[in-house]
Amino acid sequence: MVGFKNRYMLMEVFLDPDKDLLGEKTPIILTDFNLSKAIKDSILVNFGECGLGSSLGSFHVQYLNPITKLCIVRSSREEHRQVWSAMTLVRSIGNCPVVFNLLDISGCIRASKETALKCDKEKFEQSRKSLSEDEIRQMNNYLDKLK
Amino acid sequence: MGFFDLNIPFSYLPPAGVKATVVDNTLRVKLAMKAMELGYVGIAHNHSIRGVMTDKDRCTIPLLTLGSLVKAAPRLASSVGFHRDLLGVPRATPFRQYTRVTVLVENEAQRLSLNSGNQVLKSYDVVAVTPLNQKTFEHACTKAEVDIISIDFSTMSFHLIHATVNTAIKRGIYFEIKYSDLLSLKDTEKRRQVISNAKLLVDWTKGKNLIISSGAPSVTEHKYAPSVTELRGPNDVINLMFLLGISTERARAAISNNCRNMIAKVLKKKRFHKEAVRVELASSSETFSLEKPLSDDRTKWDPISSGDGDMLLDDIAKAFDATRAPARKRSKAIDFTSALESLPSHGFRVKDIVGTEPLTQPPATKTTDAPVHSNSPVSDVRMADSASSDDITISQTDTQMCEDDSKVVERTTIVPLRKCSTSQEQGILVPIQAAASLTLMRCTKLDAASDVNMQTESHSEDKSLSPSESCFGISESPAENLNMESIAADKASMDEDNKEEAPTCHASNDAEPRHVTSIDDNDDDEMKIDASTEANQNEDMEVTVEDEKHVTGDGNINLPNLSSETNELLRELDDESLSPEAVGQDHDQVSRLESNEAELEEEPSVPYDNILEITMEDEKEGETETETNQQAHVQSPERDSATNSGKEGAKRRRVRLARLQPFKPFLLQSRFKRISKRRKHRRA
Repeated sequence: MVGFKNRYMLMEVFLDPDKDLLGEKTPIILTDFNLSKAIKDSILVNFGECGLGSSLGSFHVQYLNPITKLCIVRSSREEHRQVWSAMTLVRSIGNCPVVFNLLDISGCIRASKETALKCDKEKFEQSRKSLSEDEIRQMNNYLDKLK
Repeated sequence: MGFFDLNIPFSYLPPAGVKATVVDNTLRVKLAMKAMELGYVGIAHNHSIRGVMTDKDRCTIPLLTLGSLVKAAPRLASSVGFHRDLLGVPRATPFRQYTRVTVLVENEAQRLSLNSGNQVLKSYDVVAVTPLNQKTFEHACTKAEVDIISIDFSTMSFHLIHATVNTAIKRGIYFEIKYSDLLSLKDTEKRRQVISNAKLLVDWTKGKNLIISSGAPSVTEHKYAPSVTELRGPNDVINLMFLLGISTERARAAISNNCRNMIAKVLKKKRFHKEAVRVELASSSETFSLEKPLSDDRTKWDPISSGDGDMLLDDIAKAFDATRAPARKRSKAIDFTSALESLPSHGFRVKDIVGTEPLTQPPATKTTDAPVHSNSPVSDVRMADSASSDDITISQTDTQMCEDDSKVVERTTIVPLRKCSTSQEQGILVPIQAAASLTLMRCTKLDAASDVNMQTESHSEDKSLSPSESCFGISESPAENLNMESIAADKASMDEDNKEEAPTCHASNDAEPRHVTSIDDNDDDEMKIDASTEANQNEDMEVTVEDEKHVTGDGNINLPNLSSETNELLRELDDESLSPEAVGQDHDQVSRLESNEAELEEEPSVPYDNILEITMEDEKEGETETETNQQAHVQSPERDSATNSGKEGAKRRRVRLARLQPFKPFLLQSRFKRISKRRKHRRA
């Protein structure tokens, strides 16, 4: 038994969903930093200092693929619904409107990564044509990270 | 379980103007697409009314069409499939659209307009009300004829009363919570109010009779026109409701089952007389009679289909494929599995399949015809030759059959005559996934074949046939017609040979010789025809042959059914030159087929003698009737088979019908025809 339990949420980020931008030039580049900042801001707004403080302990962006725009966010099990809600309530990263969409949630990083790999591949297939060589190489790097 | 979002704005209320602003079409498409992509299977386009309701407020919401969606997002189908898989929603679930009206009620007059006789409200699928004060809220809960009470929590100027809420729940009215209030309100004060009020409502309803929807921008919200950013995925919405104190299960129900139930109820109320009787417009092509049961649609009826605006994911994929590569998906001209499993009775396609067969046929024939004909005329000729030659001897037909296995498609398209003859075996041999399209093609091919036969046979009868041919002229490519003509000529020359060979042919290939021989003098070939179909004794054959006339697609239906089980059996059967012992007894048709063939192999002369007498009568009748004489033949042998095989045959038939229950709508026409024919004959 593990005393401290985590939840891993595989999220999909729609950047500027008013346009169909999958695989096209994106207005911003997702990074671990701006993503976690947006989420933390949202937690702060919606759940206050207390909520942010309690969830910060285990909050972490475990994996981020800016090409397929999938990310894995870790949170403690107790706070994960808060964090999840906060992510749902995120409206923008910087000036770019975003929508988070949960694809999978699991209690084990390995399972989460497996799903992420599957989803990544699928999304990659969807957007393959519009990607440049460089991006495809990058993409493969990200896929390797998951393996 | 599918998720619904019953509040996609069609129009929204700007704070200043009284009248609602209609959302422009591209945004509507985007919203619908997003909802679809997020995994929802149904949306309701919401029209908001403030102030006095006029006749102009009648439902004018144009449901989105497949074309607009496909144009807007080429990758939609794959993305939708991807998300549906993750949510555990079957891919084949049709995407449904409904219309909804939300009336803002403020005063007495508006309150009273919410009655069951209001024609404006009747034109919408779903009626929602937003009460703006205590009186209207109470009225909405206790008396008004509405389906949803959609409270604007941010500016709630009245108190929820436990008893009133309970009354509403007892009356089956649903409360709506719009999560866009949580998402997009910038005013923290209002947001707090939303949460506290909504929590109260949730407390009192205990999560029952709740519906969660995305929601148009709230009435008082100035900054936001509707945007795609308001939509969230079903999982996220369920989790978000955790903030309002709704448990996961309740929230899930609120977004899926409650919506579904509500819609089913509403549609029943709207589209049924006394919630029980529905009157539908019948297509003029269908024939009606007292003998025909009227239950065709019942098995396929879908309680939550609004009748139009349903979209199948397959359609989207196909529509997109069609724009890109026309003849790519040839094996799946019609997706029978999805059509049958998901019961989308009034979906786009299924209706097409059921109601207007010819509409669905052209693509099927085209996809396969085109490549084949482009091959070369030579191959056609070759095939025609082989076809005619294989009429002559059993051995040849057998080899032909083997060939068939390898190149089913070619055969089906190129040699209509042969097609006709071997339709049965072939259809069965066709791999399951291809069965649908192939059988469809076969239908038209059969038709073509019969036409050709008729042409060569006797010209007087040609005339009677020609209408039917013209009917299906669309489905056959001109090239093929030419082809058939040439083959027909071949046939004519072959006839003499065939006459002698016919009996043996019967044994091997039930239907083929029949047609070939039918080209000869009438008496003779009548007999043979009868013999051959008698040999069939098989409902499939009868039905398919009948269907040559009115392509209801019985063959299609029977064969997919058959194919899976009898595939191997029949292949065996072919290999062993139709030896009856080889085939198992378990399957009705197989055994029947086989027994017939065995019968004919062993004692080819006996059945013919018997039948000859009967068929002579039949023939006269058949000629008197202005129907295609072929059909007459088909009927007569059927009768013969009934009389000959007696109860056994009848029993078999019953069994088969039971099994074909799901395909009833397809079957009925032909069946009815058969019955009426039989009667006519009996009377004669």
